[in-house]
Amino acid sequence: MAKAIKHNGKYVLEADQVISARIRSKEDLQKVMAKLSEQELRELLECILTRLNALEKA
Amino acid sequence: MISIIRANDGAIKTYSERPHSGYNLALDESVEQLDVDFNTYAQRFTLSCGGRSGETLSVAQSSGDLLVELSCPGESTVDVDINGLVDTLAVVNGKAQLTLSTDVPGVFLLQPADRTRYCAAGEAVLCIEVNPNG
Repeated sequence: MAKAIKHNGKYVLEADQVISARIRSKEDLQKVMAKLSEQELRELLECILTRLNALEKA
Repeated sequence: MISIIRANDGAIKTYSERPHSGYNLALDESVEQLDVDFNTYAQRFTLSCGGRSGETLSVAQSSGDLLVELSCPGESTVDVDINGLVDTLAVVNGKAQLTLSTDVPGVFLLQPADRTRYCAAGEAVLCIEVNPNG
């Protein structure tokens, strides 16, 4: 469970790593549909490999 | 008359209108009787949001701030645990309020901080799920 912090009188959640990863994963999936530069493609592959690595360790 | 079961650290695990025999001596739990009715005991600490209490609420990310109302009759301050962060709220006429931001997705879990005084069950616990957009 993410921690909460008090900011300007309101309680705000700290970003949850799992939720953030899911959001990024969704964004990456949408990127695949677009025409990518070599650099963008490298970054996307890096993200995918990082996730695969995390899955293998889990 | 209610029965209260406490864990060995004094935290209230549960309470019931009926006499409790379900406590576990092996875990050093204890049971005590209190001459008060169930509703009065349960209403000593309640949390609600939008008039809803004792359930998991689900809201969308960035859907605006949420106002949580706390009822704690007879107290001037009360300690609340918000995802492990304990804060002391001023209680006026038995009521206190706090605001939750929906800017970041995740789960808020609100409950009484002093578990030896209040049981974290029923209307004393509020779970709010902030769902990510998209």
